[in-house]
Amino acid sequence: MANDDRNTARWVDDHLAGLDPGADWNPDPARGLARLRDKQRASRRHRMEWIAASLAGAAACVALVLFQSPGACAHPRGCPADPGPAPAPVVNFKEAGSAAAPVVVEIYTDFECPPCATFYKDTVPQLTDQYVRTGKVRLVHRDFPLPIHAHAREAARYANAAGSLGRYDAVAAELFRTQPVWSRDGNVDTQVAQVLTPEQMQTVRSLVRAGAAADDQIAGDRKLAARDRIDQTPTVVIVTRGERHALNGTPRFSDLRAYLDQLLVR
Amino acid sequence: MPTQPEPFDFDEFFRAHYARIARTIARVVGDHSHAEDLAVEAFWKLWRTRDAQGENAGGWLYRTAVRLALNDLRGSRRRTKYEQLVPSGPKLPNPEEVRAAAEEREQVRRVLAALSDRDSELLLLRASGLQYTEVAAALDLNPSSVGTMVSRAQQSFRKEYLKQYGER
Repeated sequence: MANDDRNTARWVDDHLAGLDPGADWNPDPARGLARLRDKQRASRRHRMEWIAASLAGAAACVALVLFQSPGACAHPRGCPADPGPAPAPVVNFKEAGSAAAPVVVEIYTDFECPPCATFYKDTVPQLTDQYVRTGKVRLVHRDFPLPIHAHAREAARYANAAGSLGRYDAVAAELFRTQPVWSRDGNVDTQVAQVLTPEQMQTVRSLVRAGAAADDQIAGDRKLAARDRIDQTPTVVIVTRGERHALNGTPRFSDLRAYLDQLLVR
Repeated sequence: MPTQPEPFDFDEFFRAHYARIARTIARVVGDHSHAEDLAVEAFWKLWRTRDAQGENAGGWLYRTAVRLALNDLRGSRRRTKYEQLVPSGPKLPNPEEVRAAAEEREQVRRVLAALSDRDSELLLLRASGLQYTEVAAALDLNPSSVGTMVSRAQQSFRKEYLKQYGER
């Protein structure tokens, strides 16, 4: 009996030992702490914004109660015009095309996945020319770095960091173009440096090191991917009339065109 | 005269435990970058939970880290379909061996995901090198019963593994 237990223990230990991440990987506490600091700062900022919004709301309620009498707005100049909601000048660097486009095409990719590189080089330009530039489709890039690819997440970090400088497209194109090189030697930085100025590169490196902003983008996309039940890359999700449809497999442009044309004539 | 408890130095605690926590999580999720994300998440939870910042902060953190990792593993099982289909990259010296090892790791993770939380936690904390007393502290167990519980967890693991994959 005791022998059986010992054998089982050894058998289980052997199987679990295979999960050891390897002695050559040493997580860097300094980098981890920097990312935690970012999270803490973001949390404090969020709390302050929430408090400020609550106070502003409370003040607005008080003002409404105090000044809601007939003629309160009967000033010769009239009531101050309602400024309405502030315009949102935020431009998401991972989106292209008209916000009013009837169809949104979301593409989940992994920078280290060869079929994604092919899709990006062959299909995306045609999609952009024929549907995005014509206002029929809004295109959204989403990150889905797969755990089997050692450098995919780092590549996504670089692309997102470059995106904050308005250079997402250039870096994404370069990463897909040079994928066979950096996926082999792991040197994402060198490839990205080919399309950015030294000053831009410096900013990108510091953003990648800090991690938080670029990682938030990836985490957001991964949450959506879980909802869309994505399990491979590239995956195209078509969003129309409030519904999301993930297409099976990697569509050729001709199939995608037929599908989109069908949706657009409805 | 009662002694004042030592003030909790969060940064020092972070530096002392971060690498080990990240490595424990990496056993479960595989991807190193993602393991570091989850490790930061575990410390973030500790930072927000003042009550946990004390003598047993280590135990609390390991328990939280393992639970985060197991939840992530169970939530991301769909991805394994793709992982099984895609061969290893060309940079690897012997793709067949590497692929077999990766497949074996995925099978072990699937079995861990299928076990009860308690069994998976016990096995992972033991495999990460924690002593029985540390495991007991982390999971709030009686130290004298940890050995028996680990043994039962090992039997459950073997049974589930053989059920899913048979004897190799």
